[in-house]
Amino acid sequence: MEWTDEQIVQRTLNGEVEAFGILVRRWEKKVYGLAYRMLGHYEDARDTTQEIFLTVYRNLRKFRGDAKFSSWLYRIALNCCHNRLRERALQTVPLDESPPVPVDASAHSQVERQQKIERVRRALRALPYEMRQVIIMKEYEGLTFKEIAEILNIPVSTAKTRLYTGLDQLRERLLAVKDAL
Amino acid sequence: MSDHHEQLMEYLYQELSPEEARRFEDHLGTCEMCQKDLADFRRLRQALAAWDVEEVPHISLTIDGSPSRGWLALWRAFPIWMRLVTAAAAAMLVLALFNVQMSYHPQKGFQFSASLWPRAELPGAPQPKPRPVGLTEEQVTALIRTAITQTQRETNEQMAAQLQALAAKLRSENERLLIQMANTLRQEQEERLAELEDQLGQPSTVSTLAELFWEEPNSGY
Ligand SMILES: [Zn+2]
Repeated sequence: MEWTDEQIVQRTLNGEVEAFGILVRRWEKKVYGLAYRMLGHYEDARDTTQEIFLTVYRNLRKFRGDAKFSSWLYRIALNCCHNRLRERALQTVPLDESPPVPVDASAHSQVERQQKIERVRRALRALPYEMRQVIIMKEYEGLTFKEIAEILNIPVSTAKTRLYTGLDQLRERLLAVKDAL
Repeated sequence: MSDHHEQLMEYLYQELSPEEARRFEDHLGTCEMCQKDLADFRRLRQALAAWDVEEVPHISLTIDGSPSRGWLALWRAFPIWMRLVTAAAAAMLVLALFNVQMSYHPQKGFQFSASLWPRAELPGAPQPKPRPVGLTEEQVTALIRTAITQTQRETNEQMAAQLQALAAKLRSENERLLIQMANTLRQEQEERLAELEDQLGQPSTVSTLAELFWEEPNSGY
């Protein structure tokens, strides 16, 4: 049988530091996906993912096990993303980092695809932070409303209304353009 | 109205039970606003799905530089027993203030005999009736546990500084040996903790003890 996250935490704390590697492998894709979509920037997302796991490791003994490990991990992840965004805002480094668009004319569909992604990226980035995080957690991380509520420490009904408001605003930005989809 | 927004969200992401979904579909049949929302949001979700993450960059962590291996193990190994000693000392102090006698027998465990009135008994005088308490044994145990946890936290903070100094000294030594030692220690202490917790589960004068914690939840802790 596979070790649960919580068991691996225990093993790590018992001195078996290598066990922590299992947790990283298990969660890096999800965590990176979250960071990438929250930050909209490849390098920021990579650095922040590293930072997230380091923060988790350094605070491992604070994990009490009264919440799921994944909820605790997501909470730390969102915190790190938030800090990164704040730093970025202070540095006034433009977040506009367009993904490389293939020049090859035969890759027309590829260009179209990149344009679609770019539109989504911009629309999400323009949303207020609170709504963006809920949309990303629901749509891309596939979390339940209950899990989102636990991570953000908000009532479940608030999680749902935030998602509605977020999608409502996104609709104006993304569906207003005819044939944008 | 906003209730429908919430249900719509659950319906969109398939978090309604079959029964709830059926009821929402009934509503959907009569509500144009929800119909439009649903259609729009489904298109929106398709658009969002276009943004996939193709490859995850290699995540490398340099953990060895941090106060890691021996330190963490050692830190966790140490406090339990000492915490308990402190908790027990604090408990005795509080109990003494309230005319409680506490004794510890290796076989019988902790024993309490307590009263909120002075122990001196007047011959012939009617014994005061114990006041009824609305606490169950579980609640009492929970209260005791809470008190112990709180004491543990305080002791932890004091010890952290000392342990850090100790860990710095030991860091250069053989780490694996350290971890082994720490684990053995910790296991012993955890067994001891379990034993003590069992004993705490059966205080002999539950009701009076409950009153103590009830009336003075903060004293000494
Ligand atoms: Zn409706």
